Amino acid sequence: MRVEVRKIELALAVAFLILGVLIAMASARMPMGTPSLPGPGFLPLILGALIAGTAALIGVRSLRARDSGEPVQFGHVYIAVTVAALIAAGLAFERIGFVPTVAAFMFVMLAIISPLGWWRSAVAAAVVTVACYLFFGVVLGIRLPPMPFWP
Amino acid sequence: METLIHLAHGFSVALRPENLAFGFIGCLWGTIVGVMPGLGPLTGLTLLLPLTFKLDPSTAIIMLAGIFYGAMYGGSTTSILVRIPGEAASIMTCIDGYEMARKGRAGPALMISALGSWVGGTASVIGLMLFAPPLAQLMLAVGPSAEFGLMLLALLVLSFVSAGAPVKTLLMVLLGLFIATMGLDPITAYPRFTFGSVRFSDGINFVAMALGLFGVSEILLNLEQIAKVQVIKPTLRSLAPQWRDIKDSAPAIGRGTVIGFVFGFIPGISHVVSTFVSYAVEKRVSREPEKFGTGKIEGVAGPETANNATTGSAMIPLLVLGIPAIPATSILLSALLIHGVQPGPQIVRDHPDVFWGLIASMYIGNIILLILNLPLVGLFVNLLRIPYVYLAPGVLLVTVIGVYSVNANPSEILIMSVFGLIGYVLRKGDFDPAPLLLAIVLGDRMEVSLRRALTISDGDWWVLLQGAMSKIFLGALTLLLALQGAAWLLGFRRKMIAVSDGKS
Repeated sequence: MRVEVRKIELALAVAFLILGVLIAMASARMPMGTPSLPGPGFLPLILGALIAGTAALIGVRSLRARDSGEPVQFGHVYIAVTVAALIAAGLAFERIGFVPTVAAFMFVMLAIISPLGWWRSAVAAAVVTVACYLFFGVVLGIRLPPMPFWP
Repeated sequence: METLIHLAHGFSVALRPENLAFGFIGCLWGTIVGVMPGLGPLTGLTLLLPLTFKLDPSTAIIMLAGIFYGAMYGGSTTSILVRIPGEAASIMTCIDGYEMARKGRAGPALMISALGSWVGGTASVIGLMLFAPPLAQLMLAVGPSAEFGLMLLALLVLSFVSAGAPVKTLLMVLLGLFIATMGLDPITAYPRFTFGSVRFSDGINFVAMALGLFGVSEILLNLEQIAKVQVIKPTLRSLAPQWRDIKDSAPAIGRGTVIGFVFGFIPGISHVVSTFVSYAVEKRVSREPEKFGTGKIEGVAGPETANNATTGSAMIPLLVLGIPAIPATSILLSALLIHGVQPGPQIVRDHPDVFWGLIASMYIGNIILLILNLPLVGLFVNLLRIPYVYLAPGVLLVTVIGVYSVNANPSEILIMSVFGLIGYVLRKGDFDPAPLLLAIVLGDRMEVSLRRALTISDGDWWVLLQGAMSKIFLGALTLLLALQGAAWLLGFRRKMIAVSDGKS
């Protein structure tokens, strides 16, 4: 998908405007202190307002811009796969353990983005998993989550 | 004399077998990440940071610093041979370096680039050694109000030198400052934006954010455009430069050293800006400016020297003030804190092993890099032949394991993934995430120093203008704001952005 930079800029400006307002609203519920001795909510409130203001300025600027710029590539199936695989790895890491998570992560990534094919990706994922376990777990002594169903 | 005694102590630390070995690993890894497009010093540092947790603080910092300046050396190889900058600071080297390679002069370009890098790197370490201790002595007298002024000045300079639109840089700085407020309030321990979870009581993990914003987002950007690279392979024999090459590049190396060293102090993207300035200066002083872009050796020597000369001076604000001048040094700051070393004026006195060991190791590291980058250039070039489709999953896997190992907390993998996606979208919208990262680092201290100064003065805001140091910092701040306004009025800034966009 190709999108004009100006549109991405505008979308980000709107997102940051909303974020700024939310920050200011949440900060307003915190103790403000006094102007001479500010409390925990004082700085976040100012920052929230400034974020919203700056984002609004960027939004207006991009709306008024005459040159929308060259469209850029935005999004790709590999990006969706990579982010989904990373989030899945984060969710599975302690639930199913290091070995199955790493093996599945590498298999999915290699099978989808490399030209290796399913079988060779499975073999490569197995080799990488063993190598990682030996290097990080045994050589470096990093505590890696065990498999809960392994004796 | 005292400096020499301290330096001798530093060498006794740096020459310990384990420090030499890890220093070498750092330099080698730094060169590799510098050579590989899509990996840079920041990604290289964040990837190996968790592996240093079990090391002695001085060993860990020596290794991580090796990655930082090693990447500056490695970046030139890809620029010259493939016309793809290995890292942002090598963009200018592409212009004349690749033209030289196309004309069969890749060898002299690589050789002069390595020699310039060595001269710039070594000279900046001498500067670090001479300037850091007296500056540390001076900064010991700085109170919270002056510290607040200093932080404010650093953030303003950051938006001043940033090549992108200032309003976008400002937004990134504000977001960084907001993220820094997350977690328990440093004065009252009131929970702010913790979503009711104890896991966020310390805020969002900095390493996970940095890895996401720079490491993961860079990989996502590269996955979009996987291309096979065409590499020009030089022979060892062709490396020797001619006498004329040395004669032409010597003044450029000298000027690059000064430019790089001065720019290294400035927060932001000084290592990148210094190369632009160096290239512009070389073109300006040349008798044949029209030949720049067709393979002029000064166009390689100046920028490559400048980006290496920033490495030593960028360490001065980091070590003495605790202010990371560039994103890569913010990871070094994290590493120092993780290892229980508080950067600041007292580092020279409290951690002589780390401070002087690091300085001595940088002298050794620059020699290691000179040796690594000349005869082994063919080996590094072969790394460029590894298809990105195999490299990306491997690098991502190491980031996942690395970020988990920091606190054995799987939610940090999720934070890294989310920030990776945020970094990707930000960069697509022309928002540079570097100021955000630096503001996160400075934000916490900025708030603490402001509130501490107000508490001490019983709520008198004028305290921020009292004291000589506060006046100096706030005076510099006012001057910069005035300069910013004047530059804006003269349209200089717009021209500068247009030039930098055209070159990149």
